[in-house]
Amino acid sequence: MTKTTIYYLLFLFLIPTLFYLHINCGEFDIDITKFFLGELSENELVILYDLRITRALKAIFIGGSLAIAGALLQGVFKNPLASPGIVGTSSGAMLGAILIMFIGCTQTYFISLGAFIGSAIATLLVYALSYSYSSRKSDLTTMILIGVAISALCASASSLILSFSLEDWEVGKRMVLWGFGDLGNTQDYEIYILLRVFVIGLIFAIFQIKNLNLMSLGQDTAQSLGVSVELSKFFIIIISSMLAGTAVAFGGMIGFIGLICPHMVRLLFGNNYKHIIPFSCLAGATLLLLVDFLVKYIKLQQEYDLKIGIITSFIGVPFFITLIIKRKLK
Amino acid sequence: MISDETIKCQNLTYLINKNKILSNINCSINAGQIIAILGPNGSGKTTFLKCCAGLIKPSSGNISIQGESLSTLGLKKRSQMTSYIEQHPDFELSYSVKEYVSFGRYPHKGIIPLLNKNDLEIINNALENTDLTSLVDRPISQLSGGEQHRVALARALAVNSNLMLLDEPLAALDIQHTLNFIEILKQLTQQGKTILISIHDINLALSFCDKIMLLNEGSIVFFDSPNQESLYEKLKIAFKVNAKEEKQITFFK
Repeated sequence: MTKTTIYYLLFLFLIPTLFYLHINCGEFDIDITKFFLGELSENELVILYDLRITRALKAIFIGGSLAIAGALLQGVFKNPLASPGIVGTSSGAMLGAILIMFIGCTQTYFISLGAFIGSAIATLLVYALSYSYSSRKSDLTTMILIGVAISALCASASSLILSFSLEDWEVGKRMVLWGFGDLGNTQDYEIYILLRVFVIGLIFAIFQIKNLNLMSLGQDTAQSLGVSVELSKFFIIIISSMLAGTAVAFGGMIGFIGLICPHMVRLLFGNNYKHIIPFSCLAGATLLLLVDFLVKYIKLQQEYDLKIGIITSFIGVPFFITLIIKRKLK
Repeated sequence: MISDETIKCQNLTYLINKNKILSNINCSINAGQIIAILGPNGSGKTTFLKCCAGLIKPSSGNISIQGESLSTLGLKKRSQMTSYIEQHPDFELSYSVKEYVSFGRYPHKGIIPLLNKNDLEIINNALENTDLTSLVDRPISQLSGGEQHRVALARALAVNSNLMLLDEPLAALDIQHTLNFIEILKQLTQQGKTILISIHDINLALSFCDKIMLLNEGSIVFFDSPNQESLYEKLKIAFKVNAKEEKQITFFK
């Protein structure tokens, strides 16, 4: 049995197990085994479908989307520290979504579209700026600094809009709550949008494996092996913005999933995107499912409502700093 | 006597901000030859090779490869017809030698590159030719500098193109590997491949190349076989060598 098979089997075991734990956890006691026997009451079925399963699926799709977006961005920036949170994708999405809410639109379709456009603009901007100053090669410091700058700009713009909106408390409250990041209160149609974006993004990412691999060899070599480098990079940025933007629109600011997952896969399997893409996706889904399970569990036991973005940051920040220090030691 | 023309440049000019990096280059190179491209730093060697590989578009002029104009050749077809090794390839990658060499087959593959028996055979041949069979599973970042350059050559061989453009592949090699590398190149020309190679070591270039192309300030100042007397005079001018270094050149004459 090869290493890849073992890990595929591991995820095949982990995801259903966590899914089971996840939907089993909640204020209302539901015996899941009864579901298979068809013995659940009407009320219990409603809770199971509308609250628990949708939330678990949301965690899976958002985790998977963010991790794929991270893996794609790392390929484009040729930099293992690129991720939606670092290169401005997430904060761009937040600004875009808040702008849409500000003009009074409450439709989730438009909010997610706004998030997508915002994230695409922010990411392209960071990409363009960090390249023109460092002669085609992505320089780590430039990229992170420009990412920080653009993120800060987006965040202040979001705050500005938010402060305008506070007078109308309905709009302001919606923005604030949304900004925390929460997988609860999920509507059915959100799942369908997320599912579509996730599937489109995943298929696109699989089709880009060849180009991502060749691009990691360097621009000239990639081009000589038949990759249209600039075009590929543009499409990859657009697709990762779509993935991360939609994830942010429905899940709020959930940081570091897109950084941690591809990186762990890299440590295990090396540079080949043939492994990085599928395993990042699986790892992202698993990690977010686990974290959201913790959120639910803590809420149930301690009556304390931790937000999901807070936990991922607590895990992600030490991880990120370790990565930077390790690179420095090299 | 005259074999097929592999590559032909007509009035090739390349400008960056009105500076002529290459000016009015005309040449025609026949199949089965090794051409050494010599010239001082900044004489346009890399730019010339990149133009030939289709990586940068010439400002004016035309390049044709095996009779087909590079400007009308699609990306895929072009990448099948040329293989190119850049001057400083990135070897800080965790790909195994086999994975890296198999990338050379990608120009022949669709969007999902599945390698068939024929591909694997070509890859194995490339690995054997470059004496890498014992290293196939090692990550390339852990190889020595010489081994890494052999891996780059193997990847270029895996493309199986008739035209190979090598930008200073010998710079990091010791004498033994240099001679091995040259031996491989000679075998390749016997199979009808045409090789353009930029080299810094003039003596070495004179020792094994069929023709010398001497570039100076973006123009060809000499393009003929190395036994021509006039070459030495031109080398002196191009490299601005003083009397002391002159001895070195005449030493190999």
